[in-house]
Parts: sequence; structure tokens; C-alpha cells
Amino acid sequence: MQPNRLIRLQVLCPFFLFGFLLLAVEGCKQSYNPPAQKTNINLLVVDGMLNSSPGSASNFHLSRTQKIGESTGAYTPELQAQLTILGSSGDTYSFLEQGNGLYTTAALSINPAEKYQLQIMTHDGSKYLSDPVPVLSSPPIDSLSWQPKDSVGDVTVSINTHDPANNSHYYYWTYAETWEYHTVENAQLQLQNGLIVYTDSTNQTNTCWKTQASTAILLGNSTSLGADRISQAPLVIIPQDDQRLSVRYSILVSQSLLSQAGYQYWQILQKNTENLGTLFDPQPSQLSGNYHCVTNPNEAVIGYLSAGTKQQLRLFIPGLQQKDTSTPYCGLMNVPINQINWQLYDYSDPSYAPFYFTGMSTVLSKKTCIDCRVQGGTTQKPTFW
Amino acid sequence: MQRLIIFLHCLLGSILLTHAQNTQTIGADFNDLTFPQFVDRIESITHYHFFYDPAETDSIVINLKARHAHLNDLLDQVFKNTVFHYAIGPDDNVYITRLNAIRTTLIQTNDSSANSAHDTAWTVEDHPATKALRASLENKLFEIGTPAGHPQAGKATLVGYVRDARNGEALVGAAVYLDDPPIGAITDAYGYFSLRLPKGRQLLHISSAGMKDTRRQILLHSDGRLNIEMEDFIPTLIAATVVSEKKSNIKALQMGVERISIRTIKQIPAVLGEADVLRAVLTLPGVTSVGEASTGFNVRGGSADQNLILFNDATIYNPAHLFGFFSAFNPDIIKAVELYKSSIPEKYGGRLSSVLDVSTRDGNSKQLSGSAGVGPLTSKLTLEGPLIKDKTTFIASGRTTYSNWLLKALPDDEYNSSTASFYDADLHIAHTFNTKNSLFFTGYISNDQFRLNSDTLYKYGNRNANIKWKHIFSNQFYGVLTAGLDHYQYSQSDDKNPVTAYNFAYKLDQSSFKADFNYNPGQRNAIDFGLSTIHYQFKPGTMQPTGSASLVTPDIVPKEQALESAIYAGDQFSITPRLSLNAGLRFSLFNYLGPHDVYNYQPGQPLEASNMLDTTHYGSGKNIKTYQGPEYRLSLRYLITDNTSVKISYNTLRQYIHLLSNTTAISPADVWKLSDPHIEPQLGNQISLGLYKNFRSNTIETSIEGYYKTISNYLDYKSGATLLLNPHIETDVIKTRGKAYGIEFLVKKPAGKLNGWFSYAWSRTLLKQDDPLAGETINKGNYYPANFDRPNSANFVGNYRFSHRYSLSVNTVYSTGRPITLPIATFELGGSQRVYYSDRNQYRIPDYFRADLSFNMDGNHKVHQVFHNSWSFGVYNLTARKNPYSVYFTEENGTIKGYKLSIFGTAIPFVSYNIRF
Repeated sequence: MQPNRLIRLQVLCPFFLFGFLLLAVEGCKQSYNPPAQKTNINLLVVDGMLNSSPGSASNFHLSRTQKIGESTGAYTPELQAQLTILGSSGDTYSFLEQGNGLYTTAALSINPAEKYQLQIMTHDGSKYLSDPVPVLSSPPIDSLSWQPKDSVGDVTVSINTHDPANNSHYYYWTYAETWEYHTVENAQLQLQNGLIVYTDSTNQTNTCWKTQASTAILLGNSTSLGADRISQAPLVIIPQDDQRLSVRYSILVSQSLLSQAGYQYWQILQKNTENLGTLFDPQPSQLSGNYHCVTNPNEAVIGYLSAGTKQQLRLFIPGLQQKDTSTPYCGLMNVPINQINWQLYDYSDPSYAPFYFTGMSTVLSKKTCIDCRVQGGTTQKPTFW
Repeated sequence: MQRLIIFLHCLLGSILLTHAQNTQTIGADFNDLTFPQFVDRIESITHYHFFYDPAETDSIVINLKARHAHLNDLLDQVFKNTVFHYAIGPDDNVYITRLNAIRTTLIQTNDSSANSAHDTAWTVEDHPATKALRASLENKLFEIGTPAGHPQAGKATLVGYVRDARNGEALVGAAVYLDDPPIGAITDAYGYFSLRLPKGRQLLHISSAGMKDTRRQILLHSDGRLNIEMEDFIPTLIAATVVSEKKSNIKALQMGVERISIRTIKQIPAVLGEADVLRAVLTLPGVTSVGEASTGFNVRGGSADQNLILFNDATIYNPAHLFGFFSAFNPDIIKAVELYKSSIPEKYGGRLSSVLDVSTRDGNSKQLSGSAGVGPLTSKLTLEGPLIKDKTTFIASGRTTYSNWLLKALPDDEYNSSTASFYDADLHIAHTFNTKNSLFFTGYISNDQFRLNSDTLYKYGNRNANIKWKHIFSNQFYGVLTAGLDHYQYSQSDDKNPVTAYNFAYKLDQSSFKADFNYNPGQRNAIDFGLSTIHYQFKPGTMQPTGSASLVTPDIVPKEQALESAIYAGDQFSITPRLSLNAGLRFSLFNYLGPHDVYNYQPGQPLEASNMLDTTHYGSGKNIKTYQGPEYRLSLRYLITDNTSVKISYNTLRQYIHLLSNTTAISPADVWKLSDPHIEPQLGNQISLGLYKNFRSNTIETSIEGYYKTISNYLDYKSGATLLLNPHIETDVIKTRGKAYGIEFLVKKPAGKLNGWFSYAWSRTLLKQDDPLAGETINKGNYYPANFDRPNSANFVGNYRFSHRYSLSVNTVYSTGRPITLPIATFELGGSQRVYYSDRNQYRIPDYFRADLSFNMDGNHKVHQVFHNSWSFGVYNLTARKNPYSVYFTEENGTIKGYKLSIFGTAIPFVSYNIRF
């Protein structure tokens, strides 16, 4: 054996190992621009459903796909399109363009015995048509429930519904959540038109309500059961320390029905896109909806038309969290009161607002402690609250 | 032994032989006894006591019926026409000697009745200890069998072992052949050959890759045995070329068989100087992989789970170390690897694409020796030698990495929070009871664990053990019984957050038994037959919380078990000396066994959780589902000229287990699944046609092979499929059909100063999924390229020897980039940002190119020094090309951005040091 050789080698090792480690480090990551698209990926996206509930309007959003790499905020609405609903017995309904790609109908009276198609003429002269779809009348939502009732653990809101006619099978839900929340401190002062005023019920910034729509695709299916019943299907899981559970929470759930094909469409979309961006992604599948381009049959259209009634139900959940008694960091600061006019406020940092007066000075606080609006809510109390 | 040969030459004239009077008579039947067994019997029924050398006499087989016989009559018969003599002494002592009988008394009588046939031997051992002797062995005439006293017509069988003179290792794939008539045999995995030759004087040629060609002059009287030892090929002798293997590619019946010796494997520059069996396989035509981080390989369009990887007949489920960068076989104990990619012998089954047979050496039978190696990443040690002289040999090796220690030593936090370590160890023992019975034991263990920039610890490992008994029934007939246990396990755990601490484990066990028989009734037929059975026990997944604070819900996917059995028979039949046919049939049977709960689905509906009706419970051991079917293995060879042949083969195969992997590269987390009532076995068909031609007196081999292959019931996965902890996996998989076709070119120069090969393959692998019951189709039910579809691939492996101490090796690889599915657009729907994908696999990552260089330096070649050392320096990825391995997309600040990841983004130099003692 020649130990001296071995020793020399060991000195060299970290260097080689470093080369080996390159596999795991950023040095091997380079930005990648997908090759030029073989086809023009500027597809029409149709988002909306034909609402057949008596006296309801239907909303459709038309937009275009964006290239990968463009900012997701660069929503490109499809403007100046003409939308028409075509009934199988020849009745037609037109839409009004509301701007930003939103098109709405007047309150319609849809005949549940007919099938309906949506026809879209874009301003570039392309014509799109959906397959005729039946009108599916959703049974009412039986109940919404939430668990656990104590304040330990994440809260799950679940839905229960059933169809005595045994006809529904595929359910689609959306919801809108609204919740009340408070700031940790009550500001005695507010700023109105740049002037300091005392807080009253009209200008308070301590209590806010925030509303957000569902973003996940929520599907239910009762085909494997003897009865057409959905029991305790989870809709939303709220972490126990989430702001939504701090004061009072409300969820308005809308239920509509899907055909089997429509269900599969949403299921693929759900699996394809709620799992983006890891190294070993599952293989995605092609989406094929029920819209077609009449003028160019090879052009894909994204979206799936369904028609039917919407059933809604609202649930309230009281605040479940213990009041936080600790004093948070509010970055309190003292600035002198303006000697000429106490209402004048000239502190330049917009993340601060006046909190209260001491004898000599105005105490300023970070807005996060005293102004609930910085967290996205509104101080306007919703009508249903 | 050397002395013996001198004796052989000296022995002339008459020999003194004495028979003592004996009075005891013997009545017994001796059936198929070895001489020691015979002696035991005699000693047990008489007062005689024998003095003899068991090793010398072990080739004698005794079949006698004695009735009132005297011992000398019996011994006369036993030793008739052999070189042995006996003498019975006054105290009933019996002395058995070779060539000369012992004088037990002082009586001096010339007895010319001794049948001292010159050089006649039942077993002839030759030991070319010196060059001069070797030359004399080549010129010497070996008489084999019992002379009949007159010229004989007809044929006789010659059997024996071909071994390496240096260490007694069996030489596999050595060719033993006559030039005229063109009769030959290739030694089997034990170095054993059996050859049916015309009686009379013949010149036998023996050649083997890496060994010096030799020849033996024989005079064949009747069936007999000749053991041959071959000497190492000494590289300075440029003129010495290995003819036989080159001829064997022309003459062998099988097509699409590639054999790489460890010598060649070690010449190929490898990542960080770690000679790698599986990387060497990747240089062969028709073999591709999805990328560098994967030792999974794809043979002729088959997926990586369709390769049966055998390590001395033990099934290795995960042959990779360190997330797939290295193969889990220590190169120091490997003898050779053999890849069957088109005509798969009927004795193998259970996988669709290929069989990779990795065989180890038996160990040095002459002396204790070993080797050690130090590389940038691993150290390894191998010991081998005889345990019982001439009976038992062993070889044991271990290999481990110090990457863990080095990771800790690196200054960057990112690395020293990472761990990565592995080891593997092997033990192989070969024991020879006698010429008819040998036993082989193989044990293998490998283990890996790593945690890279994350809190999750991954572990996986193989454990294998098997025992093989080879029994030679007669010169024409032998059998091998193999019993083995194979185990693979994978686990993943994370205990950083006590609330979510978990351990996920996956295990599979298989116990197997098989019996393989070879029967060579004559030169025109070589028959093999046998049976095998494998019992599978899979634990598909257990999720357990760790620690009392963990809130993880335990989740256990029920165990599954099955039995896979097969019987097979085949014949290699020489229709004419130029035309040969190999016809084989394998019948395989698969039973999916209880206890298990099988889900039932609405008939005519997609297998989806939503269509689940109920479950049927099956009790323990109850047969739930049977699949069975014949597999045909046919090949035909026609010798157009002596160095040109054309071959055609047709194969069907069945595979009853599936690797659930929806990632592009095989990852240790992929789990195996047995076929069950909902998941049918994979079926494959392959037809191939090849033309083989050798040039320049067989020093250059060329071949063109074309193939067309179909695969059915290959599993693909639905979007967002859940593969782990899924008790009803059938709802997440879809059956796919595939077709693969291609042409492979190979030019090979196996020996000489400049040696190596160039291969080019044009091949396509296309899959199609149009099952209406799958619930969704891929690419509208049209054919689409498989993940490993790489239409053009070319490899060049070259080695140039400057002298017998210095050589330079080059390896270059080019292939088309593999197909990928890209998100091509984003859109907003249902309140969220969604991604629109292209059709499956419609894009390709950039082409792959890599060149590696290594310079190998052997220490001095003094034969008698204790230590022989060698160095290897090299650069992997010489051009520092950043070959993308993967492309992925991720959302960053509201923008979806694409990245390509390369594994070896730079040139990586390496050095390794090996020592042999």
C-alpha cells in the first residue's frame, strides 16, 4: 500500500465532490424559454354558466390565453364579442357587454325542457359554438355544517345535499366567503381628507368585512352511492389561527349540476392545474371542452358550457379564537401636535396613521394595528350581516 | 500437477504390478458412485483399507454389479483403461496410484498385463504453468476416453471446464470449437462446455475475450472430459487476437445479445471514475435512458421497469445508488454483464424488454488476493481466495461513500444540512463437492439514504440471497437448482415538525425457486428445460405517525401477494451446419392471491372512485385472479459465409408486475404493483432481423439489426394520479398500447491496440391510449412519443493502448432530446390561474451531447510483486455542455417561468486509484 498517495487524494476530494454537488445547486439551473409554439396559442377562454334560475341573469367572462412567462396579472379580456344563447326550439337571447370581457344577459326565462347552445362571434370574425347542453335543475342544498365545534383544530365547512329524484349525480360548487375582523387597537383618531378627526361610527377603521370568492374547483359525485346523496363533502378548510375565524365568518355556497362529460372536464382541469411547478410533475392531460370554433375547427377553445339552476345557502360561524391579549408590535411613535391647527397631519410615511393624542403629542401607530382596511377589507357592513 | 506431466512423459514400458492374494468376496451393486463413495462401501463391507488421493480419482464413476467378486476383479474393472493402478498389501491395505503401481512386497515379477495406455486419461488436467509447458500442452496429444483398439467412426461427447490459469476462475462465454467440421460450444456461466465431436484426432481451438487463444490436440476415443486453463492475454502481444468471440457473434443463434466484460467496463470513462456496469450498458445500441440522473435504462422502446436485472440470479429491484447516479454493483467483483434485448432465452421471463444478467466472479481458487480502490466518492475493498483448497472459493466486497462526511465539511449551509450516503456489500461462495456437484451462494445488500436541502429523509435498499446447486447427471445432461430471497424497501420520513412527523414505508419480498436443465444429446441438439416459481409479497405502503405529538393518521394499504410460475423447454437445433433454429416455449401462470379486498366497479363505466360499487373480500391464500399464457421464443440463423450470417427472431413475453411511476426518471419512491383483477399483465411481441458480418479476419465485427415490437397493457397515469397510499390504484392508471421500431448499427473492434465500438440507432417508441373506459384519452387517442423516445442516438467508446501500461479512453454520446409536455398558455377560469398544456410529449428538450476522456495508467507489470496498482484520471463532460435533464415551470411573483435543470453543468475532473494484491 502507498498511503502517501491516498492522503493526497483525500485532499483533492472536496473539490471533486463539489463538482458532484453541482447537480443539486442553482448553478445548473438556467432559465428556459419554451420553443416557438407550433400553433398560435391565443385561445379563447369562455368562463361562465347559463343560469336558468327564474329571474336570474347569466354572466360570462371572455378572455384569451396568455403566453407562459407573461405576468399572470396581464389578463387579456376579449372585447366586442357578440354572444347569443340559442335554444333548441329556436328561441335566442342576447348579451350586453359590460366591459373587461364581462357579458351579461337580462333576467331570462329558460325552458328546462330545451337544450341550449352558446354562440360567440368575436370581433375578428371567428365564430364559436358550444355543444347543446341540457338544463340541469339543482336540488336545494340540504345543509352546510362545520367542524370541529370547539376552537381546537382547523375548521372544515362541509355540504350536504341530495336529490330525491335520483337524477343529479354530478355537483359543482362555488362559494363566497365573508368575514368580520378587527384591528388589535382601536384608533381614537382618523384621517379624513388629510385632517385628523375623532373616530365615530361613520369613519371607524377597527372593524372590517372582507369577501373573497372560491378559487378551487369543487366537485361532488354520488354515482357510487345507492342514493343520490352528498354527505359531508368538504368545501373549505380554515386553519384554526386564520383571520377568518377571529370574529365571525360567513360562507355563501352556490350549487349547480354538471353532466358526466362536464364533470370530467372540471376534474381534469382540477388535477392539471392545482399541481404546477415541481420537478416530477404528474403527466398533464389535454383539456377538451364542449366549445368549438366553427370557422377554424382545429382551433381549441377553453371552457365548458353548462346550463341549469343555482341553489344557494349561507352559513355563519361565530368567532372561535381566543382574544389575543398580547401586545403586538405597532411601531408607536410620537410626533408633536401642530401648534396652529391640531387637525393638520404631515407625517410622510403612509404606513403610519394617528392613534391618539397625549397631552403633548400625537401618537402614531403602524396602520396594521389600527386600520383594518390595509388587510383588504372594507368598513362597509354587508347587508346580510 | 507439473510433476504429473513429467511423469506422463516419462512413463514408458512395462510397469511392475502386484496383486496380493485376497480371500474376501464382495457382493454388492454400485450405482453411479464416485471413487470415494465406492471406497466407503467396500471398506464398510470388507476389511480392506484404501489409501488414495480423492482429488485424483474424483473423475471415476463406478457402475458395477459384484457377485462373489474378489476385490482385484472389481478394481480391474474400475481401473480398466485408466491410468490408475492398485496394489493390495498383506494387511488388506489397498494402495491406489496413478501410472505406477506400488510394490507391496519385495517380490519382483514383470507383469506386462498393466494397461498403461500412453497419456490416456479419463480426466486430463492441464496446467500451463510456464510458457514452455503451455506450448507443449498445445502440441501434446491428449487421448480422451477408452481406446477401442481400432479406428472408430461415430461421435463422442467431450465435456469440461475452461478456467483462468491465473486464479482458477471459470471463463464464461469461451468458445471451444473445431474448424472442420465447424462444431463449437460456448462455455456456460460456470465455464462448462459440452461438445459432441467426431471420434478420432481433432484440433480443438479455445478462445475467450481477454484471454490468449489456445488449442488442444485431442484423440477422442469415447466420451470424456478435458479441463482447459487459459492464460491472460498480455496486451503487448498485439498480434494475438481473440477470434472466437468475434466468430461467435456470427455463429451464435441468439441475436441482440451484448456481453461486456468487466475489463471493457473499466475502460469506459465514468462519472467520477467509478466504473459503472449500467452506464456501460447505456453505450450499447438500442439502449437509452431518460437522463443522467437515472440508472433506469430503456431497451428498444421498453420502459425501465421492463428490464429484469439479475445479479447472480437474484432480482435487483433498484440497481441505483445516490438517486440514480451510480449503479449499485461493485465493479470489482463483476465478471461480466450480458444484455439480452431481442431473443430472450426461454429460461428467462417476467419482464418484457430485456434481461440484464450481471455475474460475479467465483473468487481466486489459488491464493488469497484482493483489491482496493479509492475514488473521489467511494472506497471499496474486495477479498477473494480459496476457503478449502480446490474445493471452496469466496469473493467478498464492500463499498461505501464518504459523501456524507464531505457534505458536512463544506462551508455552505445548503450542503452541510444535506446528507447522502450509501453502501453495498456482496459475498459469493462457490463450493465444489466433486466433478458432479457444485454449490454457489450469493448474498447482496445495498443501502442508500439521502436528504437534500430538505427535511425529508429518503432510504432504500436491496437485500438478496440465493443458493444454487449444479448437478451434472452425465456428460450430456446437467441441472441447476436455485432458491433465492429478494427484498426491496423504501422509506421516507420527516420529523422536523412533531405535529406532522411521519414515516412512510414500502416493502416487497419475493422468494423464488427454479430448476434449469440442459441436455445435449448430440451436436445437432441442445435442449434446455425447467420450471420456476416466484412468490411475491408486497406491502404497498404504510404511513405512520412518529412521536406522540404527531397528528398524522396512520394509513396502511393492504398487502398483496401472488405466485408467478413458469415451465419452459427449448431446443437449439442445427438443421444443417449452416442453418440453426432455436425454438423455445415458456408457459407462465400468475395467481393473484388473497387475503385481499377487491373493489368492484359499475360495469361499462370508467374505473373511477365515483363508479365504485362495493368490495369483495377474499380469504387468505384464495386465488383471486389467474392470468396465464404461452410465450414463444424463436430464432433462426443462417451462415451465408464463414463470416457472414443472417438471423431472425420472434419473441413473446408477459410481465405480471408493474412499476408505478409517473415521473420521467425512475425514482426510489416508485412502487411496484402486482397484476390484479383490474390491472392486466403487460404483453410484448418482438420480431427482429439482423445481418452480421466480420471483416479483417474477424477483428472487426459489424451488425445491423432491425426490430418491430408491440406492447400492450403498459400502464400510464391519469392526470394527477395518486400512486402512493392509494388502495385502488386502478382508478388512477390507464392501459396503454405501444409500438417500437428501429434499426441499430454496430461496428466493434474488440481487441488490438485500438479497440472499442461505435453504435448508432434510429428508433421510435410510440404509445397510444384510446380505451374508452379510461375516462380520458391522451392526445385524442393518437400515437404519441414515449418519455424515452429518442429517435437518434449514437455512441462511441474507444480505447487506445499506447503501451501495456498506458491507455486512453474516450466515450462520446449523442442523442435526441427526450420528449416533454410543456405548458403553453395560462388562462383564468373558475376564479384562478390555470395552465394549458400542449398535447402529451409534443416538445423535446435540447439534444444531448457529452464527451468523456480518461487516461489509465497501470503500475509496473512485474508479475511477482505483491501489489499491482493503477491510476485513472479523466474528465467527465469534457465540453462542459449544460445538457438539460429536465424542464419545469414554476410561479414566481405572479409569473409562470420556465427553468431547465442540468445535472452535470460543467466538466468534472476525477481521479481514482486502485490496488490489487
